[in-house]
Amino acid sequence: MTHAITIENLAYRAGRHFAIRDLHMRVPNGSVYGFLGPNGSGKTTTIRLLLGMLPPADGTISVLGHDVPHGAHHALARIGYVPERLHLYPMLTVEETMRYHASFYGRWDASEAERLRRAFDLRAEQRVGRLSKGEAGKLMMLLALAVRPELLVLDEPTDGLDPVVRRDVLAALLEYVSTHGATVLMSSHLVHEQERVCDWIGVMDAGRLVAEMPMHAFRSGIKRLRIAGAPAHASPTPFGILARRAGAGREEEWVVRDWRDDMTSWFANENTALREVVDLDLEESFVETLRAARDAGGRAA
Amino acid sequence: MFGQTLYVQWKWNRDFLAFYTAVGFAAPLVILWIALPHLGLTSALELVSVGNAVGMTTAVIASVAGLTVAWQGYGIDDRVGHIYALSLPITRRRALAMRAGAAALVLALPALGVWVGATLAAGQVALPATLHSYAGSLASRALLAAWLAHACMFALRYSAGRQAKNGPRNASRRPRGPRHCGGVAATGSRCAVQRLCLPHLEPGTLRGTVRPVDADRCLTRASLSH
Repeated sequence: MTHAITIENLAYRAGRHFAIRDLHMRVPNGSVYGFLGPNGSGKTTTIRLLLGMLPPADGTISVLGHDVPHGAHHALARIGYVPERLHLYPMLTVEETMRYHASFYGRWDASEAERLRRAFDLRAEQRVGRLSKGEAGKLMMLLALAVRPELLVLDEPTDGLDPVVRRDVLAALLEYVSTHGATVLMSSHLVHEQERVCDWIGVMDAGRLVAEMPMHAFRSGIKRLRIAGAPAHASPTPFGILARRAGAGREEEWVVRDWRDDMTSWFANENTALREVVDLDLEESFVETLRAARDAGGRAA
Repeated sequence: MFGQTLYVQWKWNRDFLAFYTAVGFAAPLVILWIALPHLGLTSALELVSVGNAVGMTTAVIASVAGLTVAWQGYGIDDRVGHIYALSLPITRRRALAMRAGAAALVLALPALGVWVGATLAAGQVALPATLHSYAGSLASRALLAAWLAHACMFALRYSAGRQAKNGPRNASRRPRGPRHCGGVAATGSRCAVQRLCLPHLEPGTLRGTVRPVDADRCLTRASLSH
């Protein structure tokens, strides 16, 4: 499997309170990679690092085969980028913005840009500074898609958009991806949205990538088990235990990962009764993963 | 590419440039108009002293124009914590060169105003033969002053201004104490459910080896040790 983005041992420090340490990340070619994490976990900083906007303190970044930050401008020519906040010049009109953006990209598809402008119902003479949040989001997506990118880097592209605009923006994105087979790295707070569109997932917390796996593994492998008579110290398990919590009476609640149905036999061997296996949705899996990472971090400290 | 950069610079600074061009145009005429009845302009020395006053005034005006263009230019670039041009497929050096070049070109406008004003002012008096390049020298001085001021401010703004904004937003102002998990909160009403809310840990508390095991089956090493 080749990778559109490869990050190895990345380190970066911003001030005294925040640092990215020893970050490893691989975004497979052709995947839609969801980049999850709470506020301030370092998603936007990581995106800026991999686009060459910030210089890393240590480690290597390769994007579409180009070394970043030194070859960032070569990589950027093949990337469509939607930043977290509108960074375009507010005094330009939509048409002027498209013209300005186009002048930097040899791959700019003017007819596609015009088609998207009409589809998104953006007026050419409207000033960027007066666009609503939804219109600004559409314009950013238009600019990202019209360069016919091989890689789309989207930093919370639908954050704050109403459901109708969000659907339009995501529809345009999915249409492009399905037509061109582009790779997508999409950071978002909207867990359920990621669940719908992503096939890989990376979870970031406090400057570290605490989980990276295919979406199906993340969605189906994490379960909550209700157990009676659980041993104080469990012998080696065929699954990973993310959390153990006391339940009612002698019951315990375990949150496990890499769960398969045939693993119920392990409990019989341990003289433990498995009462219930509860499926978790992506949001709950996300929260449990973060909890486990923080607990582990706390213990290590 | 440069044409578009120049257009952006012009569109962003045009109001201020129009103002400074008008002031630069008027300054020689106004100073001459004030000085004329008092000095009488009977000798070359008096003309030169008036010329010095005009030259100083126009240079100051041009310097302020240069500072304004550099200040404003960076302000618009850095509104959202990063510079738009850095996300475009050009090298930093080229992006900065284009931005500086565009600013240098638009700053010729106030100098042009000075040149026209000084030419008109010079036409009001009989200049000695050695002072025939008066308008041109004033305009050159204004242009150089504008470029110098712009270069200093440009260097200061583009080299030092980004340090504070590289981290996550408001990282240094993050309140202490418990808070809701952003990811959960963003999904709506379930944020209020206690079991879905994570305590906020101060960054220093998360030490230890927390890194992927491999690309396919990856959680934390620490979580595997349970």
